Amino acid sequence: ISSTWYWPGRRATMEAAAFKRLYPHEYYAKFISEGARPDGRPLARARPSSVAIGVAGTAHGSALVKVGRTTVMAAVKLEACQPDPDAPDRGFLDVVVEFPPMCSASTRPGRPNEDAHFVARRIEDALFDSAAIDKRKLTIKEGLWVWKICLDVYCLDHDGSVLDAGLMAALAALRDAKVPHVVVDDRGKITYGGRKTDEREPDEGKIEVAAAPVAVTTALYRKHLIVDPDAEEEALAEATVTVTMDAKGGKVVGMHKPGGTAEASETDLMHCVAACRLNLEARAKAVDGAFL
Amino acid sequence: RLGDSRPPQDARSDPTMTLSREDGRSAEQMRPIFVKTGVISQAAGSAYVELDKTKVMCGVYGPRQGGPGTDKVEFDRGRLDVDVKLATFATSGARGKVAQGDAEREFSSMVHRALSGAVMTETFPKTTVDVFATVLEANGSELCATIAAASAALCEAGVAMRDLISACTVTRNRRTTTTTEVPGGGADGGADGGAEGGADGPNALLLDPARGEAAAAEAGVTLAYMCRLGEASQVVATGTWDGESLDDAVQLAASGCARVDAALREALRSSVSA
Repeated sequence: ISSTWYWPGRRATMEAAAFKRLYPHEYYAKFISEGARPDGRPLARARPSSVAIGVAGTAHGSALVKVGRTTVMAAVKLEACQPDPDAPDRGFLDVVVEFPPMCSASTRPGRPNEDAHFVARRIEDALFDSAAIDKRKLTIKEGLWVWKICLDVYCLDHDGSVLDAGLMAALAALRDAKVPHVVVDDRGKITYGGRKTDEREPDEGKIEVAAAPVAVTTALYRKHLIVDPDAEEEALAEATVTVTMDAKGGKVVGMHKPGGTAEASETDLMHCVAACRLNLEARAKAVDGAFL
Repeated sequence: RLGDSRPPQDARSDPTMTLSREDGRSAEQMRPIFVKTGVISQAAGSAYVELDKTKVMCGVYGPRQGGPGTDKVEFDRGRLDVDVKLATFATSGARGKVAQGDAEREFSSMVHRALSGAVMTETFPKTTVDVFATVLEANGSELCATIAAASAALCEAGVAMRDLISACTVTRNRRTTTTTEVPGGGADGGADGGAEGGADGPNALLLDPARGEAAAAEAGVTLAYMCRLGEASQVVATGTWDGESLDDAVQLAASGCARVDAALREALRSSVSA
């Protein structure tokens, strides 16, 4: 498909794809000025999301989330370990985010992705700040054994807003996780799958997930707010703001604007919060839907 | 050509002399294969392959400028770079390390050697084609699933290849009490694909071993094969073999490769016609 694009001040015709490659900002601005984006969405619309659970048989819990074309897989493995002596009744949550080289054209093997650490810390923050995960609920035997939740989030296809999809995947994987049954004897030795004291007790318990934090990322581009940017839009954006809200209660639990060349005014930030509120229910429902 | 000298499946898998494995398969049965292409929107070509519970996803980028460390460019041919990662949750048990180091490097180089036989690097001189794969779940034959995924992804990316590469592993396992044998009337010692009576006792050749079978194997051979051309691009044999049993094993692997090749072609055909 070719169309005629005119570069101001110079009459030249070239295919849309070539124009996009050579003048990405001009190409994008043409859409934004009409209130739409190259993929047809209005500026304020987020992409549809879908969630599937139990996708990795080797993990205790897992989930696969797609937001548009962004695909993220999360897996939870539980390990029993010794607690910190200063906090004998608290377990651990270790979040690792990986961008394997296959997920985008810009990730290369051997070079750790700068975003990976940021996304991991934001997911951790969201889970604790919303009280979705309470470390005190992870004790097996106080002072001796606690659960360590190893949460690994892999981005399989990076088409923007990985944090949004990653948080949904993390939540779904945590809710999907089956905690193995363990028994601690008098000497403090732990055995997996020991004899159940009560036959009615289920073999595997669940991790208590008390909240449903949802993140929505908005990009700032030439004074416009672009909700749920895809990979190309993220590359052009001057700054991004991610707002995290708890779907149970509707409170804001986090807001991050990691640098960027543009400043966000208070009104901009309020719009970002509104964008999050608009998409809160849909995303929380997508996660709940996987468990029906 | 490999695989031609094997009698058809029916004659060999006489149910009265069939070895049954943990998952109920016969010695010569492959696990169900699922192939889907176009799974990574960012990549030029991509594929997802499942061999029952073994799951591998692969993305191909390029031809493009090579990554760091590829400054030395050959003027008449391009580079094929392969990197395979094993997800931390891919194996059952404790969570694996993020960077597996040597194991991943060796795996990557085996995939690279298998693909090199087919990829026509002279069609993209001075540039690099990157093949990136991630093993999402490892339950035996990860190498074979990765090579199959890479083949399909390369094909979707439009990288010129002499043929599709498929791979299959055959292991030689000692028959133990867990593998039950149903004796039958016809005492054909070769009916299950190369039973060997020897000082060590009878062995069986198992096609497409699952994780447990691969771990318990005495010896194994992995064959990377271009089915239409009838050429092997890589054969890796571990353990001790005598000539005849190795030949049997390679023939068996080739028949497995034919199945993988058929699945790849079917998936590629349906993605083009869709």
